[in-house]
Amino acid sequence: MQVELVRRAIGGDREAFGSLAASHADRCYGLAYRILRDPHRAQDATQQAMLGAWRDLPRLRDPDRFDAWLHRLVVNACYAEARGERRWTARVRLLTTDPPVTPDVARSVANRDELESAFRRLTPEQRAVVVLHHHLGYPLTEIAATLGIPEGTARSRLHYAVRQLRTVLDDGRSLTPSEERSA
Amino acid sequence: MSNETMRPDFDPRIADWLEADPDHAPRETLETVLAALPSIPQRRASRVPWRFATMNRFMPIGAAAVIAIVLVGGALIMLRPNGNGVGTTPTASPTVSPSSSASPATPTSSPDLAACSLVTADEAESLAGIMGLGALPTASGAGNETTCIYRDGGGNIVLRVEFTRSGGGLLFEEAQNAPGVEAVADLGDGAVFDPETSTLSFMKGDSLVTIVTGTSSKTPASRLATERAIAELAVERVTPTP
Repeated sequence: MQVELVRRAIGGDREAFGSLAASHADRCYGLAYRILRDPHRAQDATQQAMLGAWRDLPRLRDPDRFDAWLHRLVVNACYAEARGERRWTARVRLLTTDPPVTPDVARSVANRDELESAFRRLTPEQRAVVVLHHHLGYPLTEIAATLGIPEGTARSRLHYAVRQLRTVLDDGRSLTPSEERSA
Repeated sequence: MSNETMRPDFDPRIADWLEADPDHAPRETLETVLAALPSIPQRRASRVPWRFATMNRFMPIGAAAVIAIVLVGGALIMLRPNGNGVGTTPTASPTVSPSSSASPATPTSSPDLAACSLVTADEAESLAGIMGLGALPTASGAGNETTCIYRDGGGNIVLRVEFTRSGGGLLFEEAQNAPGVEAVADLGDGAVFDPETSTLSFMKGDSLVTIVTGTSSKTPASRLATERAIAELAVERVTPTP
């Protein structure tokens, strides 16, 4: 069913692409939010990825790979958002008062704030690997294929990121800058 | 998950933490995408065969005739005495008049796309100095505050336009009070440029527009020149708040 929609969208069928976008919007947003940790940037990245998907869909050779291809576009859009963060944060804009849509549910993780803080210290590339592995359940081979990186690179990024996060989880404290540098 | 817990780099505590994050995109995410689709052409894969499967003997003659006409016509245009002939110096910075025939990058009827209606994709491409690379606009935001980000063919941001339709005065004051900002004369009802962030902000009535170019212009001075050229187009298109 999805493959047929992809084929129609490749042929320029906007309605078919609209159906694909509707069925993937939540998953793409969830992926972007987990990498960027910001609802507005996640929304921007999701929109950017979906519009890029529409634009470049005729270049997708294998319609069966649509999901992985779209996830790659989302991750790349997240990289772009994250890279632009420093450039754009000083712009003229008051912070909006929209509350984040994070559910207020107590979790088993003892120190969520510490974990959040440690996760934000990771590079976007490391965050993406963690999210693809721990949230979407991708094995390393699939992560490498999705991101277009060698499997060894995916493994080292994941290893480093998980080690950083475990430091917080196991010790219940934040990393100091010196620890970050030496890691 | 039982197998995953056996992997050295899988930690169920991290998975549990990620699980608590939101899984539902805001409604306007999809609406904005669907609204922008008609303005974005698809890029077709370049798979043109070098020759047609069925060619009759007259087709090569016809093709040769077309090529000859194009070559002769081009030569005549280039050699016109009052034209931009060979040896003339190209202008350094192309300008696009506000009355350019290029259509706006996105429809102006939807408030979500308001920021994209201030600068067309063609203008963004031309003024940002990235001719040939395209400038794909992406709208975001809703209602009073909208943003349009233009990216080149490589996905790099070349221009960002933010539009606050009303109530922009407070934001503009904040911009004016930032350290190191410079006043920009003769632009809207007031304008400032922040060299630190290379951001140009101008007011028209109660509306505020901020413009930031990407890295194509290297120095703050050249970025100011580019942003000013873009602002001079945009200021004409800012409609008064009803």
